[in-house]
Formats: sequence, C-alpha cells, structure tokens
Amino acid sequence: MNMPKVYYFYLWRHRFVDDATDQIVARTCFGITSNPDNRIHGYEGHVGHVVKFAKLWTGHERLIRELETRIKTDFFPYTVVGTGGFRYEWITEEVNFDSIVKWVDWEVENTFVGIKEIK
Amino acid sequence: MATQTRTINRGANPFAPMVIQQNVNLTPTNQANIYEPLIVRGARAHSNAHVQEALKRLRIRLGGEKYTHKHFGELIWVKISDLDINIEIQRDEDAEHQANILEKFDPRIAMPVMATKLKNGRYSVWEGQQTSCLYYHLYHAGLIDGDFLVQVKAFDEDMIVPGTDLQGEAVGNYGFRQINGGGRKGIDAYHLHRSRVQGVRLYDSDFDEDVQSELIQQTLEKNNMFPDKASNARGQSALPGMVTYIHGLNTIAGHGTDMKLFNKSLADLNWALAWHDKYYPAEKGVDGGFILAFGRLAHAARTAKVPVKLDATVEADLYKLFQTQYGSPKSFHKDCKQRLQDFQDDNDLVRSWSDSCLTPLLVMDYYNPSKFAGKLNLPQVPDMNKYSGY
Repeated sequence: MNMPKVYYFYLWRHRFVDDATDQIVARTCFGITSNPDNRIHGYEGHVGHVVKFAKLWTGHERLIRELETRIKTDFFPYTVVGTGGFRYEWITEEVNFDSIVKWVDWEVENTFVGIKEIK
Repeated sequence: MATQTRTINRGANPFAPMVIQQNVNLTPTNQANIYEPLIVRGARAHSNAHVQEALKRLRIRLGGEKYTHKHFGELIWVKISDLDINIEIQRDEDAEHQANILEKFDPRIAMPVMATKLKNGRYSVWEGQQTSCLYYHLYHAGLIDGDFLVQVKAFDEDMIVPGTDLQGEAVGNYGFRQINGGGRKGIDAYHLHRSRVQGVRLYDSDFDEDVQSELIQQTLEKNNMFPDKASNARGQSALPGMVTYIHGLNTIAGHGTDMKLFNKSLADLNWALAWHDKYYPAEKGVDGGFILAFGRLAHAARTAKVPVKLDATVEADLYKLFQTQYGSPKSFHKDCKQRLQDFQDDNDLVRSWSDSCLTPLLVMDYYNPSKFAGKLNLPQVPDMNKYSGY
C-alpha cells in the first residue's frame, strides 16, 4: 500500500519598498511544498536574506493541495497581478495577515481535520 | 498519519476576504485621504462619451455664445416678508413634510431658496417653498435670533441667457420640474444605507435611522454578507454574500420603527440571513424575495398568538423543502413569480408582481401533501388560502 505523501502549506510575510510610492508594503505569500527547507532556500536565493515561514501546516498531499485550491479561489481577487497580467501566489496588502491565518485555521477546523499546524 | 472522518456541515468561511473586504470598503476608515479633488473626479466623468455628446449638443444650442458669471444669478440675503410663492408653479405647502424636517433641522444643511427677482422688487420662490415655510416657522417660534434674512439665489426676471428663449417666471416653471424631477439624482437604497452606517461608524451619529442601519450592517457582517449597488449584480456578476435589495433588509428589520420594535424585527432579519448563510453560502447573491419570505415567516412565528419556535429542526426541514421543491432561494422566488402570474391569469387579474405571495406560498408548499408534506409547526401567514391550488 502506498503511504500518502506528507505535504506542507506555508505562509510567508515579506516587506518591500514600493518604487511608485516609496512606502514599505507587507504582503503575504502562500504555497505548498513537500520540503519546506528547500523552499526556504529557494526564496532566500531570490531575496538575498534569511527567510522564515510565518505559519506552517502539514498533512496529506491531497488535503494540502485542496487547501491550496481553496485559498486560491477565495483570495483570487486579492492576489498580486504582475507583468502581463500574471497572477502570483501572493496576497495583496489590502488583506491583513491575521485574517489570512484565521481563514486557514477555520478551514482546518471545519473541513481539513487531517491538517495540523506545526508553526 | 491517520485521517479522521466526520460529517462536514460548513457554511462560508467567515474570514474569506471577499465579504470582509467589501464591508471594509463600505467604511474606509483606514484610508489616509477620503478627499478626491474635483478636478480629478470631474475629469474622469468628462471623458464619458455621453458627457461629450451632451456638451456638443449644448455648444450647438449656444450658437457660439458663452455663459458669463452673471448668467448664473446671484446669492443674496432677503427678508422673509419679501418672498412670494408662485402658486401656479409650486405645489401645495406640505405641513407634515415641514414637521418632519423641523424635527431634524440643522441650519447648516438648509439649501438656498431659488427665486426670480420681480420688477416690483419682490422675490418669486419657485424652488424651496418648504424650506421658506420652515424659516417662517422658526422665525415666528422665536427660534432664530436677531434679524433673519433668507439665503436666496436670484436672477432678474428680465435676464436673458444664451441658448434659450425662456425668461422670468417661465424659467422658474422650468427650473421647478428640472430640480425636482430629472435634474436631481435621487439617492438609491445602497448609498442611503452607506451614509447612515458612516453616520455611526465615522461620525458618531446617534440618530435612530443611522443606528438602525448600522445594526442592520452588523447583522449582514455577522452572516458573511455585504451590501452592494444593484448595478454590481447585473448579469452573472453577483457574488456570494452580496445583498442588493437593501429596501428588503430595512423592511424586514423594521427600519424607521421605534428602537424597541426594531430590535425585535432585527432578530427576524438575522434568522433569515443566518439560514441563508448556513445552507446557501456559495449562492451568487442573496435573493431579495428570499429575504422577504423568510423575514416575514420569522415575523409571523414571533407574533403568533402562541409564538412558533423556528429552531434548528425547522431550519433543516425548510432546507429539505428547498432542496426538493426549488433548488435555491433564487429559484423559489422565480417559482413564486410564475405561480402568481398563473393565479392572476386564471382570475382575470392584471399581471403585476406582489411580494406578499412569497411567504404564503412557502408555507403552503411545506404542508402540501403532494409536495413536501411537512410535519413541523410553521406559523399561519396571511393569504395562505388565497393561492390554494397554485
């Protein structure tokens, strides 16, 4: 029997200076991975500093992927649109971090009982 | 890792950003600047094709002439005794309307009176009759201190302006229906609701009408819903939680009644919205007919001689009724429209929509042995027998 693969769902907060307004903007990135350390290394390589996930949940791949689908659906209008209209797995600064965490907690509590918060 | 199993009976995630953000946007307390310069706002509308077309037509009508500052008349101060009402132009004085305004009177929001300056030196008021009468009441009740003069915007009766032959009282006659008719954009239910909510949330208003709207807004938010303009729900663009039938919310919640009664009626609205949130959280838009039907059902249950309890068992049974008979709140509303139309056709009545059929049809369907054959206790509602057979 194949053992279900363990996956992770993470939230990462990142601050940057917006060139247009010179203001510091804080956005939340979400994603899934089977290896959080590798994913962190990837982000560190892009931004050039140490990265720590703000929140981390784990569960079977199927559940984690479904959770990711849900967050993409519910937050679609608030995802960052980049060059050429490409949408990224980043939630705009309009939505504060706490409400995103509450959204995930509620999904875990009410639907994804097999997912556990580990950070 | 073992996966637990359980039955999920979830509504909408209350932390989903769509509803939260829509409600946050309603009261933009976090915006640093709530002011947009007119030159920015005006410029946006200026590029509208219809605005440009209207300007083109007006330019033709002006025939190369231009308005001057003088053409707009002047703002002056006039004694009450120098004002006349042209009874050929104006409506009757409306004492009840004046009484309503007097109760909430604030001199800062009183508009200048529009008048034609007659050759005999008097002023013919063609817009602002009720306001002028208010000044009379205030003055004679001794509520205005000192020598009071009325703010009047006036023009000489022989003034001619480019692009029209109208002159003197003919201008007033035209202005009366322009200002009270198509020339003034009436406030829609959404913006009225928003203004009342802002009254409490931004400006600490304690007017009952504002407090009640804010409580209705809280009820929406509690049930993962948000108010929106009807235009935003056109076509397929309604979103889960979107309520555009603000008038229905106010009707069910008893907006405008005294606070004691309002608080009871608000519970009716809350019950209706909570049911929708529990069973149809993903429905695109909250149907207005549904709000009326369930709100009135809750009202009937609460006010019955022996009050009927609409508990979780009844709620679940009503959901089964919807599942088996209609499919969704929107379909229920459509179904009622069709059945009312059939009833009117068969009884040689003029076809016209009346939402009073909604709750009777709902209760009839619940008990109808050939439809749902419900066994639980629902309240009696008016007209239950009227639509029998439809």
